[in-house]
Amino acid sequence: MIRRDRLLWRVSLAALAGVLVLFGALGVYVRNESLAAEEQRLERLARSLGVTVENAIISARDTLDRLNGLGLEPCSDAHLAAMQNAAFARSHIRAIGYWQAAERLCGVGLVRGTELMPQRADRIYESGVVAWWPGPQTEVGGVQLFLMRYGEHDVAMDPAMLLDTGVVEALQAGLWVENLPMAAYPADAELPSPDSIPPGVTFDAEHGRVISRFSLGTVFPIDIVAVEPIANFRDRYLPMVIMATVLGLLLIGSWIYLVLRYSRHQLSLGSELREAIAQKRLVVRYQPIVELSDSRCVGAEALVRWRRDSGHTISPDIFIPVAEAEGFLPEITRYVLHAVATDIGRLLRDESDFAISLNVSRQDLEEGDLERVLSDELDAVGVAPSSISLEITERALVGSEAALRAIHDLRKRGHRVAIDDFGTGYSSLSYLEAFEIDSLKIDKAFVDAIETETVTSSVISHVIEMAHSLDLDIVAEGIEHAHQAAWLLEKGVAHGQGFLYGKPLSARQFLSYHRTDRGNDLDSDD
Amino acid sequence: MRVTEQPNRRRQSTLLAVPLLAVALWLGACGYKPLSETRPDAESGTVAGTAVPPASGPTVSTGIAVGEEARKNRYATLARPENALSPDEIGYFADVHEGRLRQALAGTSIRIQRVGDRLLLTIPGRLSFDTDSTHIIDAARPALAGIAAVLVEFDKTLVSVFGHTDNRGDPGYNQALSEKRAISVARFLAEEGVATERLAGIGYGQRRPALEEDSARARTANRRIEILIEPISADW
Repeated sequence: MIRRDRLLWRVSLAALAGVLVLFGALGVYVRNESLAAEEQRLERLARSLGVTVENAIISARDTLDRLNGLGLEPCSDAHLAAMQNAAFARSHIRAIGYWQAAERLCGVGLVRGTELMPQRADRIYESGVVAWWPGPQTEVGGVQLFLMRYGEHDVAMDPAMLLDTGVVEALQAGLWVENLPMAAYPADAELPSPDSIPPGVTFDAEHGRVISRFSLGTVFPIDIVAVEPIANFRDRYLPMVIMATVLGLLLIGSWIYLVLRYSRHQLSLGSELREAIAQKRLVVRYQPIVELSDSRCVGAEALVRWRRDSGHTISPDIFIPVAEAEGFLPEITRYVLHAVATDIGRLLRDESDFAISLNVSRQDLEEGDLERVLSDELDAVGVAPSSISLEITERALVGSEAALRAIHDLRKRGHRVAIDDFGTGYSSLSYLEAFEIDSLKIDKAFVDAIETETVTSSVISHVIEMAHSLDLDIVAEGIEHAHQAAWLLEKGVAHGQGFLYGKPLSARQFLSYHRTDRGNDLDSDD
Repeated sequence: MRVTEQPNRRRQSTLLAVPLLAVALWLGACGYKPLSETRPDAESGTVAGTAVPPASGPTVSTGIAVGEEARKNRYATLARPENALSPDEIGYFADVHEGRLRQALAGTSIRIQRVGDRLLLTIPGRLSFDTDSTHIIDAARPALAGIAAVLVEFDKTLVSVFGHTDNRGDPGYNQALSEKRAISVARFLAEEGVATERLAGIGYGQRRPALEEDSARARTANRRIEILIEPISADW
């Protein structure tokens, strides 16, 4: 089944694509959200640390400048008090000293005498500020100090006090000022240098950690490098991941549900049939109905046929019940009616004694607005209601007041009504009296039996007699042999249809058949 | 003043100081000669005041060494253990000394260069002397006084003042002029409190141009006073 295969392919691809897209989007979402959140978090941290450090350095320099400019007598009580105050005001300042060249004359704080005379300054600024970054040469009592000298005074700061602001818990962080390591938390943390890592957040899967680098450059170039185990990162964003996953699964679930629903729907015969109706791929065939006495064509039964794309033809016995079950049989009825009106409307208008039989269902009678549809279609082409006979099965009428009422109304409008397939359903002759009908169609099964002279043939005799007693016209279906026709004629059956007279024909074929038939009539009339 | 100014990176100053490097190498080579091998009578080497001043020498304050040989001898004299910096101190001393000079000279056009532990100050000629004059112009005095103050504080150095001229005029005349100017600056420093035993004045005339080319730009650059500050090292 080509259509089915194609559809299955399409549905599978759609399902797969949908799931992949959703999973991808979910992954991207989780990654972006968590990265953005982490970057924001670290940027805040970095900014706060950077500002702290910057302020500390600027403040240290200003303090030195102020002390240089005080003009107090060196190492006097007032001078010592001024240094003391300056040191106490800032927790990260460990010592302030007063120097003469390379000789410390006095000072306050933890660093005494000439202990801190590092061999090589890291920076000597144009302004004259000399700075030594924390390192082995500035280590006093296990603490590596940041040292700054300006003029006669110097200041020693503990950079750990700058970092230990409580915001760096649960991670390792390092601070670089002017590309030189200034402080690390914890003190022995081994951190990659800022040059070796890209800005922002980087996942170092090999070492199971998340590395982030942020740079500030307001007064000094400052880099913050933070490292934390991936587990921390995961824990922090786990609720978000869970939420996103649940959301994602819901989305994927709904997607699959929709795809399945769509595919089931699309794969059903009903939907295919609807499609066929919409695309006008149903065709209408006309099987001639003749006067048994002279084989003259008096009408035809409109039959609907469905040939699928695959070339496979589906019997109306299968698709009509499907349409009925799904409630769109009236659409098919209307489709056929429209085809009749279009194909042979002119013929029906011109020959008022000619009639087309249209199969209608209980659904048409109960739910559809068959009456309006009929009048619309027939009025449009100027065909009288008497030119359309309605064929209804026994089953359609049994137990339905609405159907019976509809029949009543239709007959009042001028349509003739026939019971179709008589004898295959309830076959109760008692019904016939209750229904307002004009004719009876005897099922092919009875006609087939005529030759064999079995019990059914006696049943058909009774049916015929019954019809006669009710003054009903009779049409015998499925006549294939002349002797059947002869037998029926003998029993007083007026009309018949079957391969003996003509198989279902296309509209064009039927019109051509009809022309020939009339021509014969004219000939015989002559 | 803000600490945000461009730091003085030693590598950069090294690249800029190729002429200085030549001077330093020359000084180094001389410095490693045993004292007994020095020739006290070489060139115009004498000590002003203790000996007859050279023919071109001005009448200067006593104690300023004049000429290259005298300068070398002076270093040897200064390098007494009680007067010298220990190897532990010398790096710190030089760094802080540089910082203090930068602080003192911030905003002036005096250039400060660093080679190893030595410092070289370059004072453009137009900012120190009028043409053919050995008299320091008034505008140069505050900066020189600032340098002197730092030199007084950082007293364990030999301070050598080098005079240079451009290549116009008679080389002999230029030589004499440059020496007079160098001594003039050294004397000014002495007047500002720098011990004369730490001071030396040498005239190079047009022999050691900063720029070899013959152009107005080069002549301007070559007319200059240089002050070389060498920490006195105990392991000299």
